[in-house]
Amino acid sequence: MDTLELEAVVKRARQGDEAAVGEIHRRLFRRVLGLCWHMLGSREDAEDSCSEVFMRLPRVISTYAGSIPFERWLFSIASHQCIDQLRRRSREQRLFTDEDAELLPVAISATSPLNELVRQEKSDAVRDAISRLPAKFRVPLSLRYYGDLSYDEIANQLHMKRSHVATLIFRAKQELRQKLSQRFGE
Amino acid sequence: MECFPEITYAIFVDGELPAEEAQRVRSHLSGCAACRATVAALTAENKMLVSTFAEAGAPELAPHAATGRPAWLELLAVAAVLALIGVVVHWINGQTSEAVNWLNPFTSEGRNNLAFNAVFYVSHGGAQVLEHLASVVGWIVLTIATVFGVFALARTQNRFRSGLSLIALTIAFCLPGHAIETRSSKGILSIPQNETINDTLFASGESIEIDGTVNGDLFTAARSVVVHGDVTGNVFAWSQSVEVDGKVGGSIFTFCQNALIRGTVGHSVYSWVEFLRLEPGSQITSDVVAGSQEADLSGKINGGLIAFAGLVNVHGDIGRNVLAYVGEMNLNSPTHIGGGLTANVHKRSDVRIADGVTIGGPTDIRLRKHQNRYAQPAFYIWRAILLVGAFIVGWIAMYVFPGFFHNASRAVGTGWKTFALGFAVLVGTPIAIVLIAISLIGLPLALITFALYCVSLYAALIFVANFLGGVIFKNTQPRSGEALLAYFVGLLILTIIFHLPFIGGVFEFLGLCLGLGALVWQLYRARRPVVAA
Repeated sequence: MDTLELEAVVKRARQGDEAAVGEIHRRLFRRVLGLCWHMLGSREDAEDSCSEVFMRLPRVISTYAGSIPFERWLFSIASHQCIDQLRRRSREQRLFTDEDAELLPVAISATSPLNELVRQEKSDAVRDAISRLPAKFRVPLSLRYYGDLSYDEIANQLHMKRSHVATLIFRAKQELRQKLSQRFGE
Repeated sequence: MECFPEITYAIFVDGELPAEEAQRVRSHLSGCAACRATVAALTAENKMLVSTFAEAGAPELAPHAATGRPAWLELLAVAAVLALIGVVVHWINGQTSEAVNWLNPFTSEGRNNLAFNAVFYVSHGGAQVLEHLASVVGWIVLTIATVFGVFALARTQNRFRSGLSLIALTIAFCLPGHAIETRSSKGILSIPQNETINDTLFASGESIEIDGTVNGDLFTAARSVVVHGDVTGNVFAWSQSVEVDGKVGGSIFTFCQNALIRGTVGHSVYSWVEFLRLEPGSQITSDVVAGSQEADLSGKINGGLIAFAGLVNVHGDIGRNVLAYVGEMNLNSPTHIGGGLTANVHKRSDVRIADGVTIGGPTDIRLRKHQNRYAQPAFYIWRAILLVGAFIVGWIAMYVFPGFFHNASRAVGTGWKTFALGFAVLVGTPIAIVLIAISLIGLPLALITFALYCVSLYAALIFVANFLGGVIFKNTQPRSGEALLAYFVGLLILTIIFHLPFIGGVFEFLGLCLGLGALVWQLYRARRPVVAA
């Protein structure tokens, strides 16, 4: 089964082939785990959510229509699971509010601090700063740049307008820049 | 043409700007160097974010999940240490002769002796130590509960209810039990002859003397307990010595060093003592169950006798059957046994029946041979039944609580943290049970806790088995046939290693600690308080 294309494996899994579901698990577990980790910010919670996704997979795989790549479809299932978990954990039932869509008064700078840091080989610091972002920023950022989901898909997941997604992602970057420039005194 | 805001360029770089607007941006960029620089910086920033996320990838997993590698080196080290322990235990067993087995904690005799000693150690200064401990622990718990309750009340609505219940519980704890009379004294606690207590009495002190009447059960924790008067209910005695001269309407349950009965007992005597003596003139209406080093039975027992003892001397009458697992047994004249006698001893001469002793039923003296348990088919049949039972329980758990089952099994692999937590629960719970049992809330809660403890011990090993299966069958899809097979294989391996000679017990202890730790940790995680996201 190793040599089969993922789509062929998925097709067999949809027909109820248990071995094919196992193969999907083998191929995509770490990718999905990564997404959960970035979204939730905790290894244990990520493992819980990721396990839950693969436990539900045999039941929900029949709803996969094939209109988008399977990996993205699986990511949307996983992100749904993670958002549920974040909501359960959060005192506020609404993770994302309209105020979040407001922009921070950060000066437009042609040279993004993030680029400077990359040049200085401080990507560890970036990773650390991402993990410390509030969930409302970390979630859309992870979905966009790890999960490769479009604004529309993210908006669908988070039950918000597309324009809000754009603002949240932009604000997430602003926060990151601010955190990192504070840290490195730029 | 005016420059666009930065967010527009950010959306443009993400490729999410509508075609028309994207075209306008492109034409502006062709004439604006500053905005071209911004777009270049944003593009680089996006690339950097993608590569940062990609490099971070996924976290390392706890050993058996998915593609995580089991830490073979760690396993090897643990196996080496266990093997070493096995060799040492084997050596110690080889050094000690059978006569001093009771000193060797690795034999069952030694373990029994250790248990006895522990009990006597506690009961020696028992009352005071326990009383002190109970009061200190009680105050700490109450203080913490109150502080947390008030703190939780002051927080958001979510915690209001839990805060309220905590305070309610605290108040309930503080209120004296209305059906229980408690008396305690640093010295002698005496219930005088003319006093009648129409409640269950919980008495503690250096020594307790009951000359009056207790119309209920009597619970005692003291160095010595003497009952001259009447107790209409049962007597539960945890002390160094117990003496019953008067009348007990119910049964006597003792857990002490010396028990002496001169009076009458309306029901049975259950004693776990070092020396048990039924004086001439004493009368037990029902049975006597004695686990003791030495039992001297000169009174009258209307029911039967079951004895697990080193030495049993009988001078009196026993109405029904006698069943004895003893080192030695002397039936002295004029003993009369209404039923049959079944004695399990090492050699025939260990049972001495004097002339004049009458036995109504058949006499059956069985010689206990030290049989290798591995040579008995029953051993394997029982293991197989227990294995299948555990498999079915695990199977049900796997389908009813899939997430919890999976996560708890995985938590077994997190190592020392789980082990330490498990060890604390394994050791701490029995202590808590004893404290609860002697506190105001009493026995029901202790019994419930004990039942939960037993269930947890069983579940703990199931999680360990599932974890072990996961280590061997990597990457199984949850709830699949393969996952079930992995669990079964884990269970089988566990059953085998727990019954290895010498080191099986060590493995079982390790397994229990890990499994309990994982269970408790997972329970905590499943119900943990809210965390700001």
